[in-house]
Amino acid sequence: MNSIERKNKNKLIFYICGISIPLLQFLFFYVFIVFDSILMAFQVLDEQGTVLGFTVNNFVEVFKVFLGKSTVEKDIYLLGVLKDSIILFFVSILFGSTANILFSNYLYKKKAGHKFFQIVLFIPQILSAVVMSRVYMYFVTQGVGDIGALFGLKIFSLMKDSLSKFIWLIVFSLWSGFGAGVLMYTSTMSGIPVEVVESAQLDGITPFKELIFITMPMIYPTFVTFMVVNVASIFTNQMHLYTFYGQNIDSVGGHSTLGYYLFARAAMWDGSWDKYAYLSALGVVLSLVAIPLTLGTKKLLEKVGPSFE
Amino acid sequence: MKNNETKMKHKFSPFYCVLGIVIGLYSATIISSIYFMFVTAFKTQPEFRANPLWLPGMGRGIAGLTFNNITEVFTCCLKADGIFVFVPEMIYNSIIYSFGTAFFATLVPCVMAYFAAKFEYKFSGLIYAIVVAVMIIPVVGTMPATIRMLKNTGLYNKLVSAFVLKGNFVNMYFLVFYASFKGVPKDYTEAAYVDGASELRIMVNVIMPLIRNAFFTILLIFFVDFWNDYQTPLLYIPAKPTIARYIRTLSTDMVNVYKGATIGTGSPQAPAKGSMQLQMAGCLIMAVPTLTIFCLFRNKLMGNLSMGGIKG
Repeated sequence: MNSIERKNKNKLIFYICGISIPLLQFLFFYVFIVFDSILMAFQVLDEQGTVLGFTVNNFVEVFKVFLGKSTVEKDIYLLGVLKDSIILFFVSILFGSTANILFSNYLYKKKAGHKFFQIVLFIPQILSAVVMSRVYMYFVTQGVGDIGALFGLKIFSLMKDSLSKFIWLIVFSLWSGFGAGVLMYTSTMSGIPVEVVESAQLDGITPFKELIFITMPMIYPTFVTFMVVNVASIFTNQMHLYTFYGQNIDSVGGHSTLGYYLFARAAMWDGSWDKYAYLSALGVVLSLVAIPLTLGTKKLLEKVGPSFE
Repeated sequence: MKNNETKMKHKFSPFYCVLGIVIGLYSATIISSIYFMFVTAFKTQPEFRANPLWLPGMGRGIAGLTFNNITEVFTCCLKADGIFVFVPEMIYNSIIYSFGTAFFATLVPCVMAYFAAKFEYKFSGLIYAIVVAVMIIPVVGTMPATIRMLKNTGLYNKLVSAFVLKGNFVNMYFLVFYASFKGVPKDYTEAAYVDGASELRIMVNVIMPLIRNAFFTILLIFFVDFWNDYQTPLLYIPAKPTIARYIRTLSTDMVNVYKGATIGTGSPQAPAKGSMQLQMAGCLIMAVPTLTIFCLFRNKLMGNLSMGGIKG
């Protein structure tokens, strides 16, 4: 064996050794868990987790819960929860993404106070949602009255009924959701060639038109990435409900999200394996909807995106 | 290509004026929140009732100022998985969980990205494809299966389970590391080969030091994320509560918080009573490490990380 062959062999051995542990981790803690989750969805389990047989009843139960006819989850109507998840998704897309892009554009254009604003906009990324939720809760329930009193106004809690609670919880999701998005968009915008911007400005383009016709098409790949991430998380977004209420979801008067429901039940039913089978079946059903939805969105956005050839 | 050092030609624009006002108002709410947390943590109950918004002492003088809330947070304990866990232990759990998990969550994608970027085997392309596929294919509701896996492997309720679970290469930082390694010229590796360096030495002593800034930044981002994360410990390590879980419980599930106990004195006496001052004191204790990291490493944390890139 000559020295080049020996070197290549050593290189291959090093490569195999290097990737084997991360690959094993991936196989055990991703591939196997996904496979086991699908398997569990079809299993009949007793409370100790012993497999008693296989069934499709877990899926039947999922559809019953969706229609509010379940005997296991008597007070849950998942169709309503699905509706709330979809509302949250569209609000996040409409207001969250728009605000992210507008704020990033302000920072990218280095307008008044941009350095200060850049720091402040990153703070929600640093502070825990637990901290932000407590302060927020105070302000929308009691604080608004205390502030109103300073001006001689009588203002009561903004969270007075289930609908207003739901609205203010969505507002919290938007309010605490800045940080990484602004950072990524600003970073991408700062890579736009200055010649393109200057030539448009010489033609007398307005700032708003520049954002729509120059900046947006240039940052389109980043926009697509964020949209895909948003769609992918449509069934996992918890709207911080667990942070606000823990298991006491009744406080929101029936409003909830699927992300919260999945997490709260997994935490509450710790060790109740018979119920875990139902939860896995729900996960499989939601994945079957989320996967084509996400891939379809990606494909669609790439198809309708601007062309630069 | 010149980067964007453009002189902004729009001298005054109503568009940016309105946008500036909106961002200013948003910033005011964020700063007010931090201010509120700081001042409320040091108020007595009567002071908070009389003067909820201003600095402690503006209502009742020095009598309105107290450190008791901070002390009380430290003397309460949490009933987790049937056992009482004290604050020093929760801080210890948080430190181990945050540092350990952040380290493995950074190291694994870094090492994997090195192999995928620097070794031109067909499998390297597959590794990249796996990462992209996993990132865009949402799999929902695997928590029960994960718990079953951890229980079957004896990792359930052990801090090390978080290292194993989070130490995977399928996250967006793999792509950041991959781009960084791809950007390192081949000359470095070739020069090291000529000098007779082994593959391991090239990786550890030649290439890794070149991306240490990216490594450190991602480590910090993960540390902040895991310090604030209460959900993973709640699901997979319920008997080892972290400070984040404690503060969340302090805010919503006071029934599990007990007071009047010190370590080694047996069962605590009674459930603690929740108050806004106690919650804010807890929030302050939890926020101090992350705010300190942010103040010390602000530029690193907010350094350039981009996804997707520019169209064209």
